[in-house]
Amino acid sequence: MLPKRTEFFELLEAHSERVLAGASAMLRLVTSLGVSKHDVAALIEEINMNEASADQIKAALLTMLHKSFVTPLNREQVYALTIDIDNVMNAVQDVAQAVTIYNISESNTEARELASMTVDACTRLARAIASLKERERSQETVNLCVEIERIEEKSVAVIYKAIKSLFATEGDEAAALRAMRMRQFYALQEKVLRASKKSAQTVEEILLQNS
Amino acid sequence: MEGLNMSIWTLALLIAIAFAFDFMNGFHDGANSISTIVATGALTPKQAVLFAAFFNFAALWVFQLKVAATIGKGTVDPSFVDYYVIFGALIGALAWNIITWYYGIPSSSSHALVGGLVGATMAKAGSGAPIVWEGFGKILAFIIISPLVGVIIGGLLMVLVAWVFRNQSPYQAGKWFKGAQLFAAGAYSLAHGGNDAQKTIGIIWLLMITAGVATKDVGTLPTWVIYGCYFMISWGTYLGGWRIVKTMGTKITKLNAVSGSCASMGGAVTLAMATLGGIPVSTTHTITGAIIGVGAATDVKAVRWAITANLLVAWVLTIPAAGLIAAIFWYIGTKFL
Amino acid sequence: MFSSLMPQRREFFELLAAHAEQVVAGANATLRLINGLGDGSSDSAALVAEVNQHEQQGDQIKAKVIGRLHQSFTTPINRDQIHALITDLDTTLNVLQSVANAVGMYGIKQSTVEAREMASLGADACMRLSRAVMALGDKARGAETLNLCKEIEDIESKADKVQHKAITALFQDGANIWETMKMKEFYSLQEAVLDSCQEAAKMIEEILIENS
Repeated sequence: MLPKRTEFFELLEAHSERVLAGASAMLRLVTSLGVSKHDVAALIEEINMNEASADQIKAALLTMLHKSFVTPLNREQVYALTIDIDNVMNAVQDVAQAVTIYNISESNTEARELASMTVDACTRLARAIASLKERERSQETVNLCVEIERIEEKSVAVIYKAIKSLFATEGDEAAALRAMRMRQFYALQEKVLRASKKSAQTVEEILLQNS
Repeated sequence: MEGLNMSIWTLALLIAIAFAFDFMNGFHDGANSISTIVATGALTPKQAVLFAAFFNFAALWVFQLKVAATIGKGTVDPSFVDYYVIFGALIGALAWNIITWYYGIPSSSSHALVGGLVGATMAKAGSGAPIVWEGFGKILAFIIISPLVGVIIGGLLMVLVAWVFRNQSPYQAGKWFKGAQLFAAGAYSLAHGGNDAQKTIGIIWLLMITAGVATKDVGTLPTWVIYGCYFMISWGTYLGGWRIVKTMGTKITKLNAVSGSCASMGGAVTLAMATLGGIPVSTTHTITGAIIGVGAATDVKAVRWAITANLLVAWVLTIPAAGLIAAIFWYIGTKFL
Repeated sequence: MFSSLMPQRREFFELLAAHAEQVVAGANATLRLINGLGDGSSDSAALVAEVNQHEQQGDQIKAKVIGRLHQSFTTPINRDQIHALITDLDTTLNVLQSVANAVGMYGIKQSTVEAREMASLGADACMRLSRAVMALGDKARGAETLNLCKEIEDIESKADKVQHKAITALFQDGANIWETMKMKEFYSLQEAVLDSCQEAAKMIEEILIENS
């Protein structure tokens, strides 16, 4: 009935670590595109495993929320944060699945840049969650969240450039197909960054209310 | 025992029923004062029930036995009462409490007790002659007055707090209320113990006057009765408070540290005023009134109007219904006891 | 009874109205941008910059609202509802910005009848949204506000039909595949503006119902 407050934070931390593991596998996936088919398949598998394990952590968190009488932070906030972090993980998985669905066999500077920005954002998210349990570190946590938001803002320009180059010259049918598939791929990558930003905003809201 | 007007066993049985009534009172209401302090994490459930039980008992040293006097000699003429009447009154009150508990009506055990006493007395007399209107009239008036005063004090406290903390979020303001909350809950438990334990003391006093072992002089009342009643209500609170774990997510989510403190404090002030004035009032209705007052200030929709309607039903119904059941049991008692 | 004695905090209504004004200004600039595409006389870059500027101002107002939420013990309407409404308004402005930027991103040189129609429907919806937000604080104007919300929903379903027609046209035989791809994305961004207006309108309805 009365779990220690640390249990919630441990689960949230574990959850965000799965997300980070997934995001870094995604970066390796994007760099392996067109290099090694074998690596690509293994990396997709790795991302799926991280997603499955994140789902279990999410389920444990939600169960604990339902059963617990007292929660650290406000109940709705823990709930919102759990859902937000899970959305990042699902978005990462969507990117991995898009590789097979859209038969993406090439990578480029922008895709890699977006993937590494995602890892940057998820690293900061995991650190922000880890420091969330200590009130004295709230300034550090806020800074990490602000950095995540900056990363997302910067990614808008990268996507703009990437899509603009896809549609700049109207080539043949193969070029059109490529434009479609890559646009979709970028859009999915953008979704991961947006979801990370959303999580960061939720963390900020939690901090504001608890400061 | 010389001069005893009833068998020692009958006396013991009736005192035991009175104690049981007192215990049930604590058991029912114990969770009221502590639900918010547990929900906000100020105390663990175990600490909270001990806390509430302690203040229930501590009321012994705070309040004079004015409420007990009103029940014992100010509601009906003690010279008219016999142990059948007491038996009818106690069973009538207990039965009505069980019925209302079953249907979830927030009825008042205090009103039930008074209703039972008056009903059984009237059944015996066949008229309203033995009723002491000065005391009973006050009780009737305060059935309406005490929740209304609760509403006003609870609401005004909330308005005051809102202005003092107007530039802070409820969460930030809530931190100031960690302590205030304990203070308010303690005050409420104290006032609860003071008013409610004394009602049972009053009944036992009346019983002892009837049995010829005590007189209308407060000095003749054995101290073990006083300690016993305060102990029973505290014990009931201690055991019943645990039920709070079940009520989580229902009532308590509506109150946070701030509004909970205002409600408890509003209830405590109203109860304490009534107790000092020697008026037996319903603790349940008073705290409900204070919660409604706080709700009306913060968010009209938070007020549970369904509960409020039940409350109105209980206002009108409790005294006649408990009185009727008491009259029936008085009759049964005269045949078998 | 006691609620009228509580601190009232009317500034939340003012801030929400100020944000809604930025939404209207953004929607009008987007409309001018789309109407002017291809006629050679209008300055697209300046109009895109104007939309971006309104978006930034909207962001500032939103930050102010959230800051105020953390510094207020009481709020005139439910705290979560204020947060939800400002978020919906801000999303509308963000999507308008995406529409404006998509012109450059997809290199759209020429607007279509449907794109112009969608843009003017968007401006209509935003104008009504702003009027609804301004009347939100006045309980006597509840019916009027509710009516505006209904109108926004009607506009949204009208826009759905326009978009439907536009997309059908894009997939006609012999269509230029590049044109189809670009405009399909463009129309769906335009539609997203109306969707988020509708979201905001629904939020306002919810607030009205709960506070009536």
